[in-house]
Amino acid sequence: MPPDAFDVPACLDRVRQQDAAAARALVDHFYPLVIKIARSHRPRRMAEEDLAQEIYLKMFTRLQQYHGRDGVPFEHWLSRLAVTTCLDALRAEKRRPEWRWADLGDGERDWLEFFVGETPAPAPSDALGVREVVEKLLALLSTEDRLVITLLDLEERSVAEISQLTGWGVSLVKIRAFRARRKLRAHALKLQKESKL
Amino acid sequence: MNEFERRWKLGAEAARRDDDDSPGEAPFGFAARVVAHWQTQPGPSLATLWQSLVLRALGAVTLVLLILVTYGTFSSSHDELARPELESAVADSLVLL
Repeated sequence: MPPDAFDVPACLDRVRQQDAAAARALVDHFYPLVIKIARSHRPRRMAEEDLAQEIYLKMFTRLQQYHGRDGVPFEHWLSRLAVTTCLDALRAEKRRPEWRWADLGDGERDWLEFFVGETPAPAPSDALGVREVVEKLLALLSTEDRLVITLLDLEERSVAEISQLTGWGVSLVKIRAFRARRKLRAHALKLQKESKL
Repeated sequence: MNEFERRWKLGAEAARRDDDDSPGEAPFGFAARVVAHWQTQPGPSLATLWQSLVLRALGAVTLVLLILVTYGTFSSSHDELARPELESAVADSLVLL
């Protein structure tokens, strides 16, 4: 079935009647959406597919709560469910990592120096290093702060979209992002200080 | 935007470029596995249903108590206005009932 021809409401009706084939089709159809969210917001020790499975199980369990007549597209409802499931999984991760300067590779150190630097300097070119150091810095933040920065800066979602996905007000999203960036800077500075010890 | 935010944005942009592998189709058997898990999941047990019912009832009772306490607090200032002879009459009529 081509993606454009996928009839979501009809499929949902069949799933509500415990139709396994329709349920499989629903999982396949929304896989790119769900795995993208799971990949961006998963705890370090959890495989993205396990998290995606958890999201789908929650989706099936709560399907009765979704009413298309509310005007909310199913994709939005599912995205919000996926984000809250990821938040729960991140909160369940008992300990946050404690990165040290010695844990960083050369490329990551270059980027970290660049982030906290104040004198004019070109951005480092190590693409792999930046991804790693960004993930390490984000992992030092609280679950909510990490979520807001990932959605805003890495996924380039709008404040309104984040508000819709998380259920937080627009002002709260802005304040949380502002504070989270300040904390990121503090963590980066702390790591950098270690290099001088 | 301060200098850190400007540089962080540059880093985030570079990280985005590096992470540009868009997710494709679900791996073979993934949907079947998820659906099988869903279908073998037990429905909500009696204990779970009972628990949610009790919690809702507790919430309702707390709300009623709060309303009564609030009402009692605000109406207590009018107690001195109550006439003892009227209270006695009401009490007597209740005994008769």
